[in-house]
Formats: sequence, structure tokens, C-alpha cells
Amino acid sequence: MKTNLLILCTLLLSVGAAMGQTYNDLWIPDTLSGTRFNLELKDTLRQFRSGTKTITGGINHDFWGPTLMMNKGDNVRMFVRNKLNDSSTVHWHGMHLPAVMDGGPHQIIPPGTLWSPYWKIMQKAATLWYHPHLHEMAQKQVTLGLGGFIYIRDAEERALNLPRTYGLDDIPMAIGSRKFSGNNQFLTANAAYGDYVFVNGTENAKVSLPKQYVRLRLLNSDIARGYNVGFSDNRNFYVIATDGGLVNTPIQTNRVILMIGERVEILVDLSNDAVGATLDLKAYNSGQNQLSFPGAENQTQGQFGSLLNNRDFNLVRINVSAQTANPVLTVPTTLTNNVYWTAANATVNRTIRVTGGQPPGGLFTLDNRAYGFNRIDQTVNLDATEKWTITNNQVFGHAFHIHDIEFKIISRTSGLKTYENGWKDVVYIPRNESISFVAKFDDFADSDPDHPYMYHCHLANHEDEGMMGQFLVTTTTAIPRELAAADNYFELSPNPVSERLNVTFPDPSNTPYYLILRAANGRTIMMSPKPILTNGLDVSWLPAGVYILQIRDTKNRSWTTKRFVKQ
Amino acid sequence: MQLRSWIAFYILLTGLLISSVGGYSQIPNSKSRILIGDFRLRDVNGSFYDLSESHNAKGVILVFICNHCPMARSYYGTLNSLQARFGNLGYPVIAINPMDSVQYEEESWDQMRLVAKSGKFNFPYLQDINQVVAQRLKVSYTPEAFVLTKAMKLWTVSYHGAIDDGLSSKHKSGIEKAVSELLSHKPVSMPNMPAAGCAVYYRK
Repeated sequence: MKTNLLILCTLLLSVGAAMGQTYNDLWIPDTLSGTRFNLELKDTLRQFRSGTKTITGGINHDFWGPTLMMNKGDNVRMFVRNKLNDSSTVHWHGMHLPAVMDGGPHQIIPPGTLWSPYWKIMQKAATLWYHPHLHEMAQKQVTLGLGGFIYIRDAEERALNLPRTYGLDDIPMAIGSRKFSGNNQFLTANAAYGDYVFVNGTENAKVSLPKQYVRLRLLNSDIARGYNVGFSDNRNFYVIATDGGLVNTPIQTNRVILMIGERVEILVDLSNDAVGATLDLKAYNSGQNQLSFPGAENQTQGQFGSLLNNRDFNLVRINVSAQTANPVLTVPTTLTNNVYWTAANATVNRTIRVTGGQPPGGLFTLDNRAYGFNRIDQTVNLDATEKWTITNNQVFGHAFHIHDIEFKIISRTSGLKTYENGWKDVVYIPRNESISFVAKFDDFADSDPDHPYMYHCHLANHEDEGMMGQFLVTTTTAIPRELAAADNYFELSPNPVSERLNVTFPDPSNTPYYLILRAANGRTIMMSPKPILTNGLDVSWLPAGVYILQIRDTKNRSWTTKRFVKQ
Repeated sequence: MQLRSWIAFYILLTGLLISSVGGYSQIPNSKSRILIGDFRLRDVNGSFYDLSESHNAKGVILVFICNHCPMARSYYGTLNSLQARFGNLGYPVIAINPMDSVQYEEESWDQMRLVAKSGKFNFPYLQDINQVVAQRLKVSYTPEAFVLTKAMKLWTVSYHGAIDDGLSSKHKSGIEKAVSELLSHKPVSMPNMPAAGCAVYYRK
């Protein structure tokens, strides 16, 4: 009798707990398409918890930002307005583009300023993302919510029978955890791991997905937590794309470890589920190596403590809904034909060592050097194919990320994971492992030491404390930081001006490398890398007054400053 | 007048015993009050507000706010209410914008005037154009509040931190509680609450 009562009580309690669990509709970011993208970074508020609203950072939103739809071959131009009360940068993570457009720690956007980089989409279909990359501020600004997805599409991907109706059977999911202070504010320092998990900024997220194959684009947008992702019934799913795009053939698995910054596109079959059935996308994070897997630690308190540590927990509750009109019910056998580099292709070998972290809690570094803003750590020749080996004999695991290129992992101490067999730009390096990858550094050379590419650990707290290095891709010997100033290397006309300001160069072989427009009091209004000034500079939008135009030229890399009057 | 403002300036620069007031730092108890000097800043109405001329005030509710920060903006109405309630009781509200108006166009004096007008401010809104007062008080965020009390012509900080606890109006904490206690000649029971909002960046 007692036993029966106990069972009854347990049953009632569990039913009560299940009924008590409320879910919120997964927020699907809206999309921006075309070739000109307007992004506004701003300080905002969101009601995350009852009581005081949480101060957040948003891009055109109150948390996170729009999904940018881009096509291979397009020339895209970004109009990034920083309305935060702090400087920031926006890095196009995974994008193959010139370093001066990359949005790394050197392309700082002061508050109130418009930054306008542009580039041609040269890579294949892939899921990328954008996020702030201001040195020592990455953790804070990413925690506040600044970031967004980029979908690159191309003809090859479009020809495949894959789910691609955004928000219906093609769902972006940015996974990250947050910790709150007593007055409901995000903790942005001394808190590596969040206590609560959010997907696209939604806590306890639920989403209705049709009874067919659906495509989930998973991004680990956390500060420091790794996610071992799978479904609640351990069903298999197919990895169809890694960081850099489609893999050659779908890879079947029931778990994927997703480290910070990594993306994976998966196909999951819901065609055998009943309409109304539920399924949970979960993080199976319990029992991971506590000395290696970020978030596997036991403690719930302190800098590395969290309520989610060493636990399995739900990411998204999936409610199976009716099939759509043109459902995808099969998985293509072949997706693409990537030809990967091998060690034999590499003409240069480099080794980067994970260092520091001792005594426990000490700062991590790469090659025993903390990040140097004015130091170039590696110089790569344009078009070189290189093998990089990252060794980690320190106390913890890391997520190594490199800008500019996608690489192919060719070896890992513990053996390659099946789902790593594709183009990558982030790789998990557990403790006591080394990995090697091969990459070709093609298309974009720039010897300017003021605009290098980065390689770093993508745990934002590690990156901020200096676990980052810089590299140049060059065709020539490095350009000195600044040669002797070349006076009057550009002319302005007419002055005063009302519509278009013509900028002419006495030396026709010289071009502008970086342009900064300032108000008379010195405030930065606009920054434009490699501006195209063939039709002059449009100043019609400026209020009347005196302005300062500073241009750094390509040949001498010296800044020349001129004033003009807007009528 | 000019001599007096110079004296005020001198006091501001030199007479400050402030050493440990910070965004999250705590005043251990109400006994360790901190003295602050006078200041003179331009109001959105064009005149200058001089703290030393607050002859009739028992104290002031000094709140650092700004134009663009959503957290600060959400408190404009609360500040009007505090002024309506305590202004005539000897604790007027004085708002100061500590933001870098050189780098941040939205924090210019012209924009402050528009904000004060649209927010129907019933209190002065002063521009700390050189960020001097904010630096003296080590202001970290907007909004961040101080309740100053005057004794023997000296200003001391009796409360520092958030405007309130952000919950419902039933919770009389923060400024409201502190000033009510001061008006009842009681010690301030909660002299600190962590402030949160947009970070104040000081011009280098």
C-alpha cells in the first residue's frame, strides 16, 4: 500500500512537473536579403525575467540580429551603424574576404559611426554568422546578444532536394547560455558559463516542425560552453554541412559535439513521428571530461560554476506538425564534391602551441605570448597551402578558430570525428590532443600590419584574456606601418560642396585604402575601407558645416587630412 | 559671481575626499558618508545650475542619465514622480548627463533639450560636458543615483546606486526609501543598491 502511494505520489509529481513546464515559441530571426545590408547595433532592453528588464545588445532587434541571406557571386556592401555607447566591431565569421573588411579587433567602429565594408561572396553555400570582435570586450558584447546568422546560398546547393524554406523546414538555432545578477542583468565578467540556456534568445524554446525531413542549422554562440547535441530518443540524424558548407555525403550520427563558434547543418527525419508527438533536442553534457570539456565542471558556483554544468538539459522542444505541400522525404546520397587538401599539398608547416593556464585559473596564451595588437605572429604567402598543427598539452580544452579561410582537419590525436569530415573554421582541441589542418590562403593578400587576420580560441573569455594571434597574407615584403607622409596626395573639389565631393589623386596609380569622415569636433561619422570614389563621395546627407576627411593611401599607407565645407 | 564659480570649481577639483564610490562599490554603512564639492553645470534651459546655490534644499536627488540608453529612458517618468513628491520637501531631483558628447552625437546639448521637452522633465537636466562631476563621483552607469544631504554647508552621499529595484511600485526601495527615511530623520537603512545600465565611457 505504501509502495503504491509512493508510486502514485511520484507519478503525480512528475505529471505536475511536466504540466508546470511552460515553453516559449522559438524566435526565428527575420531575414535581410539583397546586396546592401543595414545593421544597427544598439543598447536595448528585454523582459527575460519578471521584474527588472535585462539590458541587452541587439542588431535591428532587442537581442541578436537578422539572418543575412547572401548568394555566391554577389557583391555585398554592409552599412553597420554602431548606436551602442561603446566601440565595437562586427566580424563576418567564416567569410572569405579581405582582412581590412573582416571586422576583427582592428576594424573598430566608434559609437555613432557608420562602417561600410564590402566584398564579393566567393565561397560555397554555408551557414556563417556575425558577431563583435573587439579585443577584451568580446565576452561582454556577445553576452549582451550582439550577433546573427548569415546564410550563403549557391546554385549547387539549390539544385539539391534539401529543406530550405526558412523558418518552416530550415531553422536557424543559435545556442547560448546566460547567467543573471540579482537585478536580472547579464553577468558579463567572471562568469564563463550561463545558468540558463537560450536558443535564438528564447528560454525553454518550442517549435512546430512538419512531419518530414527538417534541416536545423545549429550554431554554438555561447561564451564558453560546449554542447554535445542529440535527440531525446537517441535517433540518428544526418550532418549535411560543417562550418564551411556541405559535406560530400551525409554523415549519420546521433551526437555532435559543437564547440563555441562551430556550426553544423543537420537533417532529422520526422516523417515517422505522429502529428502531435514531441521530441527534444538536447545537450547531453553530463559525464564529459571535466578537465577538458567546457561546462563539464562539477561546481554550480563561482567563475566556472553553472547550474547547467555536467548536466543533460533540453535545448528545444519539437512538436511534430502536419506535413507541408512539398515535403523532403529522402536524404540525397551525394551533396557536393569537395576536393580536400592533404598533408602532401602543404608546402609550409607551422605549429601553434596552447600555453598558459597555469596555475589553474591562469591566463591562456598561444606560443607563450599574450595577444599583441601591434605584433604580427605569422606571415603567410598568398596562395600557399599550409599545414597548421595546434598542440594542447595544457589543463583545458579550446576551440581554435582562424579567419580568412576554411580548412580541412587531417589528423586528431584521438581520431577524427566522422562529422568533422568537411570544411571547418573552428576545431575543438581537448586537453592532451593535437590536431592538424591544411588550408590554402588564396585570393586576398594585404601586407598592411594595421589590418591583419586573427587566429584564436573562440571561448570569448580566453580570447579576451589574450589567447589570440595575428597573421598577414602577403605577396611582397611587409609594408611598414607608415612611410613618410606624402603631402597633398589627394585633392577635394568643389569646396564648399553640396552634393558630391570629388576626390582626385595626383598619382593615378595610387588609391584610397581607408577613409574616415569626421565632424569638425573630431567625432567619427563614417569609416570606409578601400572606398570606391570614382563617382566622388556623396555628402548630400550631411548637415551644413565643416568636416574633416582623412584618407590613408594604398601606396604610402600614410594618412592625409583635408577639411571641406558642406553647404 | 565669477569669483564664486571659480571657488566652486576649485572646491570641485581639490576639496574632494571621494575615494571609493564606484558603480558596484558599496558604502559599508551610512556612517561612512562621503563629502562632495559643489559643481556648476549648464541646464537644458540655458542657465547654469550651481549646487552651492541650493540654499533651501535639505539635500538633492542627483541622478546620472542620458539620452540614448534604454534603461535610463525607462526612468524618465519615475524621475518626474520623484521630483513631484520630494521637490517641495527639500529634496529636488537634479539629472546630469555624463556621456561623451564629442563622440556620441545623440548626447549633445541640443538633443538633451529635445529629450527634456518630450519627457516633460520637471527637473533640471544638466550637461557634464567635460565629464568632471561624473569622474569625481566615479559614475559607471546611466542611470546611477546619489542622494546627497547637506549639513554645515557640506554635501555628503547618503544613498548611492539604482533608482529603485525595478519591481512594482509596492517596493519602496532605492531613492524613495532613502529620502523618506531622511525626511523622517531616520538613518538610511539601505544606503546602496547595485546600479545597472549603459556604461559611461570617459573621454581620454
